[in-house]
Amino acid sequence: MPVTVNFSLREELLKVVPTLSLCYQCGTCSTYCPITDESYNIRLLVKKAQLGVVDNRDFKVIWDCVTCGTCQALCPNNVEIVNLVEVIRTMAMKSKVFPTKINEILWKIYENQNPWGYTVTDKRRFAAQFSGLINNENPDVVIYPCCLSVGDPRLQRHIKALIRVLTKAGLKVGMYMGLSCCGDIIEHTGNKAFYEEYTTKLRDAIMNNVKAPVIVTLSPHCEYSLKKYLKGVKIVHYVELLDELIRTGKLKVDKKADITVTYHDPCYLSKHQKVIEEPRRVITSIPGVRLVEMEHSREKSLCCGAGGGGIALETRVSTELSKRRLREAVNTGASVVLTACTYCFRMLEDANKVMRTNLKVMDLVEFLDSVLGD
Amino acid sequence: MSEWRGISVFIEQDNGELERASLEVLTRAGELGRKFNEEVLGILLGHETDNLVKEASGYGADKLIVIDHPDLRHYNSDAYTEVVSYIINKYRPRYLLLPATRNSRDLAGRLAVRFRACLSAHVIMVDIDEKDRKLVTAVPGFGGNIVATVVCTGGKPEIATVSPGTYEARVSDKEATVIKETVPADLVERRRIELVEKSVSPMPDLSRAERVVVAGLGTGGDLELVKEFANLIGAAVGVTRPLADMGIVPRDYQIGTTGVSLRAKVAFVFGASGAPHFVYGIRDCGTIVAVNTDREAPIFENCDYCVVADLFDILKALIKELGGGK
Amino acid sequence: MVALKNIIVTMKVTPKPEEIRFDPITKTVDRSKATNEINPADKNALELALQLKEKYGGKVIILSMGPPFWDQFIKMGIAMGADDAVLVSDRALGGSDAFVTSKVLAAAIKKIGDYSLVITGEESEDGSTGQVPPGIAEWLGIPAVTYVSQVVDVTEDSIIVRRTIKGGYEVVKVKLPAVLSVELGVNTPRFPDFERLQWAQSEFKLTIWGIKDLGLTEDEVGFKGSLTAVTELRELRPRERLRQFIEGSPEEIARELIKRLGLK
Repeated sequence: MPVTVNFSLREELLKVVPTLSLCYQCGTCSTYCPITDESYNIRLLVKKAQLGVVDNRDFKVIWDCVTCGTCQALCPNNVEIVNLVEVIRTMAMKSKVFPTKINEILWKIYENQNPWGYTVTDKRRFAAQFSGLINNENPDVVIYPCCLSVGDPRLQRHIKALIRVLTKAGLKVGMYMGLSCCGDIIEHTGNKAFYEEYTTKLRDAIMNNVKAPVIVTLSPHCEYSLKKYLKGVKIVHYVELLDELIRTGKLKVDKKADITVTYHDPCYLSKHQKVIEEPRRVITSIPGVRLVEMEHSREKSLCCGAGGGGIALETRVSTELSKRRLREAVNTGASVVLTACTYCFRMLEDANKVMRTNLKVMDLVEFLDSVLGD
Repeated sequence: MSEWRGISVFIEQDNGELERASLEVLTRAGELGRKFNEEVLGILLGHETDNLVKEASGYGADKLIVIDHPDLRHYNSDAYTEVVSYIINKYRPRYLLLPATRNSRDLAGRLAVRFRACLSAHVIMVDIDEKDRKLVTAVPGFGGNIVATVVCTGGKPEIATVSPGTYEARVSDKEATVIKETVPADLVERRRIELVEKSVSPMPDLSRAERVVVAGLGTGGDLELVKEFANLIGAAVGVTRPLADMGIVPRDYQIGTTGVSLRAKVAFVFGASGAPHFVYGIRDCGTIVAVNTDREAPIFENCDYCVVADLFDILKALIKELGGGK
Repeated sequence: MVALKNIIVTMKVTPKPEEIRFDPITKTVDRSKATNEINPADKNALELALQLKEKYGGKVIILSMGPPFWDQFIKMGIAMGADDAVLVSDRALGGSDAFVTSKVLAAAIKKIGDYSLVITGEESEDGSTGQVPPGIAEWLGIPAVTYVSQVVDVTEDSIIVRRTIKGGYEVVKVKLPAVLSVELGVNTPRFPDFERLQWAQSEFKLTIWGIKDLGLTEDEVGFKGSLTAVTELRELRPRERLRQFIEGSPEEIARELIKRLGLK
């Protein structure tokens, strides 16, 4: 079907995503895209963007993208496809073509600082549990907990594990008790004006409260998000920190575990930040642990379905993806699937509740902590 | 003008369906009437009301005033306000009690302004002051955490709407004298609201159910197993406020201060954290079992058997043990 | 084509219930530490009004009665798309019960004038009386439809709405002007446009009226004008329960519960 090029929109898109012009339509992106189907074709979308003919139909489906970044990681010309997706979402938001669920999510973040509906009571109970475990006087590192953990006891165990492991490495561990969403989900909703206002306030709150040179996150989404607007403080994901502590000998992994595990790469570590070897080094540093890979791993790994706001938006693809991913993990024959992301863990464990496999879903730090013991 | 005397109770019906909560209020009015030597007046509006009259006359009223008119078959805010106002002006009851249901709250809000009278809404206790005979009520506020004692300081009749389930409806040995009233036709016709369509399905009477299974936010709105389990043990299903807010079930199934208060012998509570407004709604239950993943959840302070586990695991196990499931 | 005139939406700001503290010794409620928010059902009311405006025209005007600091919440309503707003604010209004509140709001609605609809939330989260909407209608001498879930149609002189009743719904046709109270959660309120919010914060001029502007005297409002009085406050204390933890595998727990409760 012939189309009329919209030159002004084309120029506008090229300005915000300059690499857009480099696409020669090889189709690698849509081949590896985990959600490609008759309604969603990322290659076609890039083409339409090049021609400036993005329209309401694209606005409708753009919310299905899980921003896993597989397309971008494998693109031979490094086109910033995820950026393009976010730009189209902003356009869709402006044209008022978006799932109404987004309104609900944004109100919750506005009123409770998290998209899950956790209230001040949940935050108070969370704070009470951790007040005795942390040192916010003169910490070496400060943990930034993902807001999803505020009302989730299972995720809180991961934070406790991280505190124990870091303490073993001789660090004084603090925690940011503002318990706010890092803004990741707001950004994926395309609401730029609210994102700016929210993150400016959050940035000031964090900078006024954090008295350590390093902020460590459990969720790669928090890490990725905080890095965008926090300056003057180092932000790392815990796998990077643990890898460094083990390699420099500060954390001694001297206990054995006779077990086969597999590792699910969180997209926002592997594809968006190229943190691929660090978690593997941490896993294999444990004597006796055998690491087996899934069919899709590293930069080709399959998304758990949570990304791009999918965990809060509950899009049609998100739970499907988590089940697909868990099946791959089961097929490795491992007895535990490890991950290093709050969202991934929640998605995979929820899928496991439905699928009832014999596999155990664990966060990497929880696993390491269980091996190290007391 | 005569003095304002007696306790009147609005007996709610809609399309021939008697609202049980009115009988609870009537029973309470009967108690107060005996204690304070006040006549108890039931007011019933409807059409073809014989069965309703028979049923309602045995719950402690001295007189039952019945206004039967085809246009009163269905609740109509305008027509009901006019007719009840007419009756109040004629009988001049000092007190007017109504069940705190949607329709009666609608009516009470209009009557209070019409008569420039005090109104306590959604009360969980209604009494009369021994000394000055003013209406005294307990009104939950702020989501149900705090209860205010409220007295009427002006206007007659002194009005209150009473939360369903607050009092038990008990058959009295007293049989009410039925008085059929006719009202000027224009009162019924002077209305600006017309019914176009109506659709209702029978509702389980939660406040009278012996066993109730309550689903909270922890279910994420997935009520399949909850319903299956409830069926197996012959229980009614209720929900907490967040679930009703989500629109998964009608608000009629909401348990708590602004919903239904339970009187069940056994109540199962799955995935509710135990907010005060909810706990209020289960206070009169016999034995309460709560299942929640969070050991620190306040619901465990307010139940008899506490289970820290995934609620779906427990539901599946219960269903299996009871011989259900596919 | 039917055209609506003013659509007046009442809005209240309520403290989050769970953040309210009760001091058992002084028997007072401390809401100073609680976060305030737009009363949840009022957001549904505003959303319904905005949808009506999009379809049938009219001007959406927020009406509120409260302290001056509510202006920031009213501006959120403006950012959602409301055209104008009035705040009735007066020290004399402190202690007003629902009777007075409906009287004051009705007086303000008369002053705004030229209205087709008054749309309210079904009830406020802190008071939960639900009596203000029918009260307003009675003061104004117009009909009210409470617990509205949906607007079916607007005709020349009427509006057809669906309202929730026990176990179902009814559809009623009501003459305009009318009061509609909107059931909590019947729609998803749109999230405010933050660019419009920035505009509202610098440019929008909120109309503020005192009771004199409404022709009311101090004796008619506040504690003096109210017909109910709070004599005491107490906290709800549920009765003591067994609080016995049952441990084990799901199957063991299930068997234990069935045994103890005699379910089989």
